[in-house]
Amino acid sequence: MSLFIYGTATNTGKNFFTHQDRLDFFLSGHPGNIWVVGNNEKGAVWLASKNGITKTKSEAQAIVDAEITAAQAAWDALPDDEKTGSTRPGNITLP
Amino acid sequence: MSDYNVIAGLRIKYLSADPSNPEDGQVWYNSSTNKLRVEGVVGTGAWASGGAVGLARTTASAGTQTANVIFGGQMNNPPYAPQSVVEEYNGSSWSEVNNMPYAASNLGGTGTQTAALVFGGYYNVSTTAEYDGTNWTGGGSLNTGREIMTGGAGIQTAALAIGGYIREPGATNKVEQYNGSSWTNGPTLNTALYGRAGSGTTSAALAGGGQTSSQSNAVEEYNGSSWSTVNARPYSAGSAMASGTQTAALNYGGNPSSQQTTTVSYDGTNWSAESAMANGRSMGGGSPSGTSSAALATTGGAGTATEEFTAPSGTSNISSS
Repeated sequence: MSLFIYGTATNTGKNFFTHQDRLDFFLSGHPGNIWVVGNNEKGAVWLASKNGITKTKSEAQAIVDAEITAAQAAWDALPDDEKTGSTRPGNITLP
Repeated sequence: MSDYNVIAGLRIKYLSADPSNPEDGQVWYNSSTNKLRVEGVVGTGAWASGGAVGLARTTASAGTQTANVIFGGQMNNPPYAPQSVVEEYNGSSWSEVNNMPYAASNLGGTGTQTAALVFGGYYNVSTTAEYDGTNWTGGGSLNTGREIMTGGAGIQTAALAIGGYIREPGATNKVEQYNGSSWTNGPTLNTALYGRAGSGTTSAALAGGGQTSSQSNAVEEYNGSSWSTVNARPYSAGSAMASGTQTAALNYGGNPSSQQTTTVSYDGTNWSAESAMANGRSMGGGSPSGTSSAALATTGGAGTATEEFTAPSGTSNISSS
């Protein structure tokens, strides 16, 4: 069984995830509204309760990659003097 | 078996009831319930989601977990424009308030929501501005304009600007102290770094991590007259966020090119791992006047997402098994 569930869900702000949620299951958020959730009952219930759409790991990684690639391309297109005050977005590998 | 008074150098008080205002770490025996009791953190700290900010950006901050203010910064996406936007948090939602008097990224900040200080920024900015919770006024200029210096140490009328980045030559060990009207050069850091996580006061400050061409885990403490290198932080990263004091601090996130979720606490001597944030972030808002058990992490590469760290505290029984 996979350690994680992958899905998309929109962070609605306060109480989107609670202190207790964080104690009950693993959770990490990524570009493209991708959430990696611990694969246990409470994690699955949480994702469903947020109207999450389940993805495979490769689907989720592709969404993250597309977001990062677009951000990197936009940063690369900046004039050099505008690059100096910011940092090029780095790649992210989902767990 | 060792006795507590041998280990801690103290005798345990024998009380008929719990004390009304126990101090953090205080231990006593309750003769009514026949329980050994302790005051302090009684549960596992963790990050929960907070209200979303209006504008995703890097930023500087002042205030606590439930009364915070973020100011200026730089949009996370093109055109990466420097901002003068200011937003206040009430513990559940953010509201845009009066803009600060200058637009800048990579700036420093400290203080509270109703008495905040913002200073410096990209490119070699020396400007300082003071916020009273409603309006902004100009303050004394930094002696050396710079960016990515450490805020978070001190209050509006007694603050430190620690290290930072000067264009050029780069990372600096300069430290300046603000007295409410002007900045004075102070004792320098042992290591020139920018993006250190700051907390504490002008007489008891902490600067954690930082970066030059690589990420650092170096930590220095300030006693009001000199800086000392102390135990390294368990992770290396510049531009982490912070909350708390020199002896009870929280550092979280950092590293602009590979944003971290790592969270660690400091007790004045040792660092301990805490539960990670859900969203990686760096150069975001912290809670300069918050605590190590109630902290805030805002935007900073995590879109508009805010997270609130809470470590439940109170009185609990000590079990002997």
